[in-house]
Amino acid sequence: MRSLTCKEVLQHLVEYLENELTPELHQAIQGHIEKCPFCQRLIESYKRTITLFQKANHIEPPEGSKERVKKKIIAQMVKQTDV
Amino acid sequence: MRDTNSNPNQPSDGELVERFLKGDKTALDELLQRYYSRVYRLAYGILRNPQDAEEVIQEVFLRVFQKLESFKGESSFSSWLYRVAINTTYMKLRDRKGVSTFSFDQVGKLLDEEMIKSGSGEWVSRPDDELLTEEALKIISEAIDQLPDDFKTVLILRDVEGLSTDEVAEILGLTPAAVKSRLHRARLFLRDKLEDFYKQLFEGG
Repeated sequence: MRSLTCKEVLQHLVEYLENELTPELHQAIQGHIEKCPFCQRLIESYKRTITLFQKANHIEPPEGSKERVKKKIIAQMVKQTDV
Repeated sequence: MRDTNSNPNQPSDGELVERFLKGDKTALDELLQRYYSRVYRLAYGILRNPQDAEEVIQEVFLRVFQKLESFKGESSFSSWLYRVAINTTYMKLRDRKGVSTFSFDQVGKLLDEEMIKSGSGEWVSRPDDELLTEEALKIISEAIDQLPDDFKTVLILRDVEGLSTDEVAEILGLTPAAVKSRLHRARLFLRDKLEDFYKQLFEGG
């Protein structure tokens, strides 16, 4: 397979990281990355960005939140049944 | 009714909804146990307000109970629930601030060439991992606020909730290719906003 450009690597990045590419294309990208400091840095920062996004958004509901909402749902359902 | 909860020893989501509608309150506990945190993270991730997120969850479950008849079972229950949650969240957002003014096209401008321009520099990783610092989280939180809501939704479903591309496509009514494109552009947008941080991290400069 011919050698790839950085732009082509970037275009296939989502599928590359999820192992969804053909073995030939996956290998070609891997070969490019091994020799390209720019792509190494890009991929490292791309993966770290995903981790940071996960960390920034992995929040749990506050204490008592579920019970509060459960009571409201039941009250609303009862109200609707009564009407 | 298709169901993501395929453990044969546990009632399906659909069975729980029907049991609750017949008066079994423990069925609601189980449904909330399964979905509360997920819907909360989605609603909070878009609305950034705990009270609004709770109101969304309440509306989502009420709609699910009211509209069970209209659920055709063509998608899984969880996909349907997510769809209702997204619509309800967007409605709440519209009530609160009007239509979002940041468009896909603006994010689209940050495509390949600009990334390549901004990302040059030698890659020298430092052994001490300084990624998960308050500074980086602050930067990414500000960047997330600038993302269009549909991009945030794809990122939350895919990268936080861990749904597959096909599941996200089904929920949002998009092609898998469109989901991947939004995911990629959103990640690149955030990565670009963190560029100065990464420069320090990788190059010590």
